[in-house]
Amino acid sequence: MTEKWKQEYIDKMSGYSEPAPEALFDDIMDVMDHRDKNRKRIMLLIPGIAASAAAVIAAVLLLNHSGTPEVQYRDLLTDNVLEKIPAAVILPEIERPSELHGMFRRTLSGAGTPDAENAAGGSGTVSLPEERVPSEEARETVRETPDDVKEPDADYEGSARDEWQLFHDSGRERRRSRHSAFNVFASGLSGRTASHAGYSEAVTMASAFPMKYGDNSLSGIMTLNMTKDVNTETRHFLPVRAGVSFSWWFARRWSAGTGLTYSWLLSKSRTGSDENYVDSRQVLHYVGIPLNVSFDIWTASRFRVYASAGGMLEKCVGGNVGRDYYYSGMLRSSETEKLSVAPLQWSLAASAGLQFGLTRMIGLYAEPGITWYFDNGADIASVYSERPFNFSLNLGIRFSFE
Amino acid sequence: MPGIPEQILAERLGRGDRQAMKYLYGLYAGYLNAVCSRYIPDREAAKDVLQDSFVRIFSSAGTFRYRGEGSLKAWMKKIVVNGALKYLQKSSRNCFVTGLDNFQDIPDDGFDEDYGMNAVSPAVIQEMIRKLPDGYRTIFNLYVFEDKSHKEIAKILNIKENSSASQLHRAKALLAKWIREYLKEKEAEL
Repeated sequence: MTEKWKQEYIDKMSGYSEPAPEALFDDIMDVMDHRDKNRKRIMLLIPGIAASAAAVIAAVLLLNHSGTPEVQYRDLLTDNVLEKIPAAVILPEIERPSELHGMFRRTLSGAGTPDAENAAGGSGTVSLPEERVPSEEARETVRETPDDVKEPDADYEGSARDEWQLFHDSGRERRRSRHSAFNVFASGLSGRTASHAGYSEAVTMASAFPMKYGDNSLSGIMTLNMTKDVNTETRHFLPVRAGVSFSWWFARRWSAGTGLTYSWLLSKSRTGSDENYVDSRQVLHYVGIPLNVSFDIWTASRFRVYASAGGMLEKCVGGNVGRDYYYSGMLRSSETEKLSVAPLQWSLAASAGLQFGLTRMIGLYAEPGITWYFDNGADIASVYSERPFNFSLNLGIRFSFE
Repeated sequence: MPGIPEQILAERLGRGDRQAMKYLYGLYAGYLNAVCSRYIPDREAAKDVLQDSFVRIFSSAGTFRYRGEGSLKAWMKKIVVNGALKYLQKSSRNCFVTGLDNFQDIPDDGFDEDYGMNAVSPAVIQEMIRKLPDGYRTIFNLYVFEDKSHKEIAKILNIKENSSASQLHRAKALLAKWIREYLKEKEAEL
């Protein structure tokens, strides 16, 4: 039994209508068409995204396959490499010069006596006993890694850089020169890995200064390694990045965004011989401001799949490197050093993203994609400089403004 | 397409017949718009909800089972009301629990009196309902036009049953007050 007053309202309003807004029907039809199209797109899109994501991951893993801890220190002068290197160049290297610093000279003259002019330092250098020539038989097959160079540069007789490349190359065509600071490398799980004979470049640079055994741990290690094969292994891990994004929709499916990101870059390295080596670990902190444009491929009630392209400007806001020096496998000393990278880091990126909306304005997103980091001439090596073209995964919170 | 029976219309909609959609729209858009704006005073938001509701109606017409005359209209209305409630819940200004009692001066008596609604046009009543504070308005709409009990309203809006009752009481009182004032003004104009 409905109350009287209630019934009055019902009776009054039951036939009431207000004309619907103009063009609403067309808008409704647009949405319906859009949905039909989307339904078809999703059927293709989901397997498409899955396939391309799998392909990217597979490609990255493949390219980084060289990085496993089991890489043994090997003499890179395998038969393969030897074939391509004229004997004239090889010989001086095999007959290692007696002076410590000579090991790290970059130029090798054709006939092979150490070029005295290239010796760093003068009379203060230490003269060490003649080392044993590494036997030809000691060559093992190097496990082929895509990162290691197999062909020497064509005009190796030319610049020191090229010759350096023969024996110490990291496998990239364009080698970026670094001038100071200890390069830190890391091998293993994705990112960038490199192995090569000889010490790391940084050790090499450091040893250009005269030092005596007993001066510091590094000189000790190098002396102890005089009769041993040395190698360097580097690993730059993919950055871990988190951020906050702000996006503005300026058309139905297009949005522009910016935000703030924090990236954590880890690199690890080991240089030396099996017994005497230096273990280092470098961490860099980057803060960045991205700028991008996104296109909504598909939207549902709380989800959004989109494609994005844009760039980012980052600045290193801090970092450090820690080095452990090992004699005969036992830790002798450690040190840490603060690092900073002065130049700004520019990059470009393209990605696909999935966003889950918590509220109308706030959402969580995951964006796998590819990024290219521009060379900024920085002294310090990191995944940005060693593997500029790389896979990336950004996670974060997005604030959306319509 | 003159006078298509609801049943046939429903069937055609289920098959995605665009002509049928246009016809249905022409027939009921005005009514559903009024329902929607009775819940949502913001015109833009009401338009969005109405659009979403129609899309839902057209998309899910395949699931509608004709159950007699008026069932199509009722089904559509239900979709619109649900859409409006969803929007209201999301909208931050919405507060179903009104702690303050701003209307203590409203007399307790006279609610069942005939307060002369006959003389007031539906458009004016609609505007009055839209003017109600958010919580009152929603509860009033659900109680009066969707015939929900306070128990059901409490469940839908996630409030206490007696909160629903007291808010309805105040909504009624406010409307009654406004109607009286309106009628007095109209009388004065004459």
